[in-house]
Amino acid sequence: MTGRYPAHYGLQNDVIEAAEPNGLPLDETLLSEMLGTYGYHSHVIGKWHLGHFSWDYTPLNRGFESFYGYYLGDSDYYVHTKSANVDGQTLTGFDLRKDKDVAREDDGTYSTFLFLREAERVVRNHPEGEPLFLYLPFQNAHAPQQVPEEFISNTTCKDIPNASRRVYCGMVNALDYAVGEVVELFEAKGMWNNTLLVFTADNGGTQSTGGNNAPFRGQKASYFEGGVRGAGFVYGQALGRGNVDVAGLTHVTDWFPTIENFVARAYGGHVHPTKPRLPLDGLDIWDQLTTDKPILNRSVLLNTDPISMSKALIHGSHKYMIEKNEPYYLVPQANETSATRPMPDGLETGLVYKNVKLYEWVFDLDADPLESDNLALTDADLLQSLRGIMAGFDAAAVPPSKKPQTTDANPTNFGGAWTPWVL
Amino acid sequence: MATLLLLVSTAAVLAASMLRVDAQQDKIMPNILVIVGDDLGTPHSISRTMTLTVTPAWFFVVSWTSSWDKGYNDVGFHGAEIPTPNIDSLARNAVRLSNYHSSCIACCCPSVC
Repeated sequence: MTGRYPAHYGLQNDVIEAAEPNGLPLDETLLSEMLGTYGYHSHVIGKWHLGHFSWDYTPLNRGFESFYGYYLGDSDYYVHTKSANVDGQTLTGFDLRKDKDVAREDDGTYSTFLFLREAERVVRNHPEGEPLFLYLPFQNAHAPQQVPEEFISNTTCKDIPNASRRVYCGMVNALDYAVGEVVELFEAKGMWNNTLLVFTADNGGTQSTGGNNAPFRGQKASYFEGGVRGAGFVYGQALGRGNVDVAGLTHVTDWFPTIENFVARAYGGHVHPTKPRLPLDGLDIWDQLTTDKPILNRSVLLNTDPISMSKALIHGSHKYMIEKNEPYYLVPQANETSATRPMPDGLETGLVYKNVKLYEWVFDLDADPLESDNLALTDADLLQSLRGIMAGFDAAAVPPSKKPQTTDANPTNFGGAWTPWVL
Repeated sequence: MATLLLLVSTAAVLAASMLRVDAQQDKIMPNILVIVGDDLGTPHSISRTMTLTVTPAWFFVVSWTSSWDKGYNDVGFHGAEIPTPNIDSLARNAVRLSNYHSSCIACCCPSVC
């Protein structure tokens, strides 16, 4: 959405909590705002989670013409409630809205169906000949593990022996169904041939809720590849090619500049931004998407967070991390809740966060994508040089904007729904 | 004369700029569709941009090829593969990023980054 690292605007520590007065800073330019200057109609359907303590931070004030979805994450797929523990109190609220209104009437319906219904409305009402930006962050396959039975029983998911994994399979299958339907909507409206689709995951799966990142090491909430290496592809006639793999290092921040320049070319030039632009961290990878031109060696900051004291970067083919030890998570068998293959600890740092020791790790991702050979233990020169690059990223980072949660946000103050509480 | 020239050239510039605006409005701008899957693990076919073969003994043979179809066989582990025919069919004709990273680890990065 911003083309910038979270450590450059204070969101590098964990997520924005339900009752946390925090959000993506208002001086950031979102994809929706940038595209708006090129005449796009922008709509968001699904997960917001960029801040909702004040209306200023919600989608309609951030470049989107419409919003249908939820402000937080992790809510129930059917009853759309989300709970948070604040000062020993459990705050629970409904979290589903159409624009600024609470969508109570949709209580009881699986979110994927609701989002599809809204996508149909948006595409149907979209004015012919004008450009559309549709941002569709689906709920699947985040916890909690819920899916209509047909996505399991009508598919090969039903043959998976592990119960959690079986449901997860259904949830991913439901996502797949939704993607197919969205493509049909675009086709029916005659818009598909002129659409650039970006499909992306946000982070790795979580073992405890059916996700699995095998054969990569680690899972969601770690900087091992299982946590940060994800699915990503781009589809569209504008690319001029397909069925191609781009092996160079790409990063989620690349979408903003890539899309901006693509749109500007179609428009016949760049439009002057309506608010000051902050320096982008991503690269325009259009040439790499459309030709065999390699991506030059680059340094990517995965994150640096002084609260958890963890950090990670990739420089060329080398990854440097300060991170807890992570095993390989195997796909659990029928009766297992978890299955792991432990690995030796890394280089001692003396750092401990939440009673877990942190280590230094260096891996050559080209030679060792499964991160089994910690070069921090054997190559002091390489370690030293990567520490230097990390120090540069650390120096450019801003402090986390993390704030304590407040009971002022209690949904009971607002008719039972999570609602902006700071006016 | 000079004034006339100035007027003519100003008019020409104005006309040109108006024409440019018209040209822009006539352009068919591409639609942008961004779809995000939340907390997707890597082993199912939608993220399979490399062929990975994993033996039941938990040794890895990693062969970096460009075959989306052949894919990673996790049958040995849980007896089935997650069916994602629609995403597979898009991905088969897409430009796939086989070394694609998100940034922070649990902060819903695509929406933020």
